[in-house]
Amino acid sequence: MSTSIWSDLMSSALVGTDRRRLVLPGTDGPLATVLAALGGELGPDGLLSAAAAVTVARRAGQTPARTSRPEPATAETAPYASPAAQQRLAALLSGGSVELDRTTTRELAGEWLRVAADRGLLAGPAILVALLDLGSADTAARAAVRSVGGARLGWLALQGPGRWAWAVQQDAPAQAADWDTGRLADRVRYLTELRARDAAAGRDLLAQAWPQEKASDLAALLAACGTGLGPDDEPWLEHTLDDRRAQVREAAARLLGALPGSAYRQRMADRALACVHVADRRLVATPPAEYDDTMRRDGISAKPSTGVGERTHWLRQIIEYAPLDCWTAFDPTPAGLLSRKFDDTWGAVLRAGLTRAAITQRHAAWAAVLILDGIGRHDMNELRELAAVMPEQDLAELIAAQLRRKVDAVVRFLDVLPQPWPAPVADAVLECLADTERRRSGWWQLLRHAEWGFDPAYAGKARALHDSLPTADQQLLVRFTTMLQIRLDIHQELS
Amino acid sequence: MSEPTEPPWTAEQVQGLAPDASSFTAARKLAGASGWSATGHGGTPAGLWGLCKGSGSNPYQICIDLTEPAYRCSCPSRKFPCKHALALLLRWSSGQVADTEPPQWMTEWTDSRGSRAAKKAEQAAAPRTEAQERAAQRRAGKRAESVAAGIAELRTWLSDQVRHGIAGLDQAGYRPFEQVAARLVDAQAPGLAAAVRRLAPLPSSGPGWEQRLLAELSLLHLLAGAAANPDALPEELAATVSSRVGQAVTTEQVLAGEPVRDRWQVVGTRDDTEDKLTSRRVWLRGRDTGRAALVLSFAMPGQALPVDLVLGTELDAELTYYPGAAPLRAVVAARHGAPRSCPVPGPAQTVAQALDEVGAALAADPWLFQWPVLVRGVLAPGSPWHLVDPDGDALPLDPALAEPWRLAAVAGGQEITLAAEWGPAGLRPLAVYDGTEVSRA
Repeated sequence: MSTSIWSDLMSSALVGTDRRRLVLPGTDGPLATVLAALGGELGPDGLLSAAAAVTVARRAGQTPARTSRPEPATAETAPYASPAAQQRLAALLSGGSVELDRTTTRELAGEWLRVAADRGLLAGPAILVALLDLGSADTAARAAVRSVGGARLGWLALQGPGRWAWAVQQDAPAQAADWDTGRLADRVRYLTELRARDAAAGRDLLAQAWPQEKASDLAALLAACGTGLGPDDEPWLEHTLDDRRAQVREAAARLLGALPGSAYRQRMADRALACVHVADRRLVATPPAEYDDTMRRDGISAKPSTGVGERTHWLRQIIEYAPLDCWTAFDPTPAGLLSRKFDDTWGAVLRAGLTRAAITQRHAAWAAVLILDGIGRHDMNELRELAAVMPEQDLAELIAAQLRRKVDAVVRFLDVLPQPWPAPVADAVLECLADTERRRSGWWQLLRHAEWGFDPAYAGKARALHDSLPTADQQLLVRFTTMLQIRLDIHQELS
Repeated sequence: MSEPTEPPWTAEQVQGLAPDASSFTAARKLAGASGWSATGHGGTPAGLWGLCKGSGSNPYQICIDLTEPAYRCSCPSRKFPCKHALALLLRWSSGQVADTEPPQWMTEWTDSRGSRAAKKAEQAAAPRTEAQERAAQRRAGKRAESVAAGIAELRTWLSDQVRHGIAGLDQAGYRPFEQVAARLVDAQAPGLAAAVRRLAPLPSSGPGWEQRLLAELSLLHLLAGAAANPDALPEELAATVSSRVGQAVTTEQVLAGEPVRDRWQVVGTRDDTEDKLTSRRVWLRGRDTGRAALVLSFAMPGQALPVDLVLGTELDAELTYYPGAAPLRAVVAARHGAPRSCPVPGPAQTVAQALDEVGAALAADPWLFQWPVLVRGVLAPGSPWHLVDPDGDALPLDPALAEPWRLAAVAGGQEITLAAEWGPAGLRPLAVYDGTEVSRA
């Protein structure tokens, strides 16, 4: 009723009453009296009066809409962080300040999230939108955000805009359906879990699916069989080496290389030892002159990437895949072997191969020697991978000893340490800092690393060191001690 | 001593006091910093105090009277309250301030405030002289003539728009509206001028702008018509019309009204800046009477807005309303005791009840475009968003506003009490009460 009057009024008002005269039809209903009083043909004033009556009637007569209600979020099972901790997080997420730049506050927020995640504490609902925006911009923060966001975060992400989709909870365990219909990552996950429970069942499952699979998928699925690997797998994997697809052969070869006592390991050891001999106490390498079918079968690839020579490529692979223990044929210890002079032509390839071998074979003793040999020479990624092979305590002692010797060489390398740094490293750093006589290059960089690497429980020791220094030197430690104190506050507020 | 049962204000409530966002950010940083000493809470009236290390050699002294609330800080900042006062409130809210006896510098400040307040009350009580009265009447007569001329021009202008058609107004920009508004300011009808300025953005407000513009033009026509002939109106409606035209009402006139005592709950605060003039709307709802009220204050650049009404608190006080057919704007005439925290406001309405209340208010004052409601329901995201009450009735949120995801996160799909401004385009959320805490929009 009021709708049709309104559209009549609207069309007249749009072009003007001069051009479109409007005669209101007789009406009934609540507006009848008001509209009738305006007379038949409406001039501008009459039109405005009628429009006002309709507008007020519509506003005052608004009726409730009907719509469905969203599913409520499930209750949280974990406790919330303390109010002081919540306020701290809100402050850190709101950006930089005079004392701390924006990057630093963001990193401190990251620390808050990690500590809260470790301790199973939740961030309050009011901060979740800020956390979702943080995670949308910074993928590295997502795991911690998911953890401290609790059930509410997943619920919110499900309702919210698409850019939050990463936070939607997918905690269902791997399903058998994942194997038949899932994406490759789901299938790998399913097979890995099955291998962990029942290695033979996993092997059978893969064997059934084998004929339909693409080479690249098979390579990934074979790699998943690294879980639960045992002597029973050898015959099947040996057979797989006869596959005509290179990716498949190589994946099988890597598994056989990781299988103690396998015939493959012996073949690779023989091949490696055949390439290296000692002459005048030097290690001299002779790569294979020709690529042959046995190399192909054992998963050594023929074609190097551009810029690498074929023989280099073959030699590097042979060294990498040969079991590291085979080198005791030349020297009882890794250190002994590496202290020898290396062949000028192939020495670099030999070292690179040994480094890869230590990483893929997770050989701690070799990794330790290669780290010492390579500090300042290896690229960071390689050092990080080597460090990951070593037990934490051994790594810490190795680095602490190096720090005492030469700060600037090792400072770059501090990144590979797990955080917080183990006590031997932190103690060595404090010793370096206290020794103002021998302040060396790399000192400033050391502080930048240490403000994040130190366990914040060291705040008191750092403060004591600061106080004990001559005034001129104290200035240099202000930021370090402040950061440790803030981090300590974060940790304590989250306890 | 302060009552030990009264919980500290929440961080959200403290945020409501901040003069701007950067002050609050700075305060949050400061609250977490070291450098605080001699902080305490207690005394009569209930207060907070503390020392905060600043850039100078002496720490800043911060005193807060929580009952009004009122602030003093020895820092040179011209912001009010300053970041130190806000930071102290934040520390209190996160439980880092202990109850103790106030130090001497705190009690001195409280005492000096008490005597100042007494002096002010004395001055206000002095009556106007006869000569002042006559001069005031002469000014009023002149003003009435000028306003009448302005109204006549506005009516002609409105008529002309509809006579020639409004279709082209989306090409004209703000200018035609600005000219009319400027003329109305000269004619001493600032209320009408503001109403015309509110029309200006409509033609560029996207699809359906013609509908919105015609609706507002027609209401302005209704107002101008009523203002041209005020003697034909009932007294209360005449007061409404006069205030919408922009006729000032003196504080004495307002205070002469019937006071309404209630536990007034602060359900929302909102600041707007227009033409360098900052206005603060504080929305109240009475717990016992269920009445709505608006305390409006203004500040020129450099001036501070009053910060005595804190979101999420309730105040036992007497309010007197500005005269009008749907009384809404009010002043606090008298306070009885300190504000208390109010995590569960009431009485909460259903959607139908809220619409009935708005309908009744519109029937009395058809030009209303804001009214505070307190509705129980579930926030439902969508386009537009809705608030759905337990009966399944829903009210849309204003689609022109940013999506209130933060409030949705706080509510978690559970039933909450939403404080909101009703408007013709939909609700504008002010705050969510989740049963334990209040979160501002």
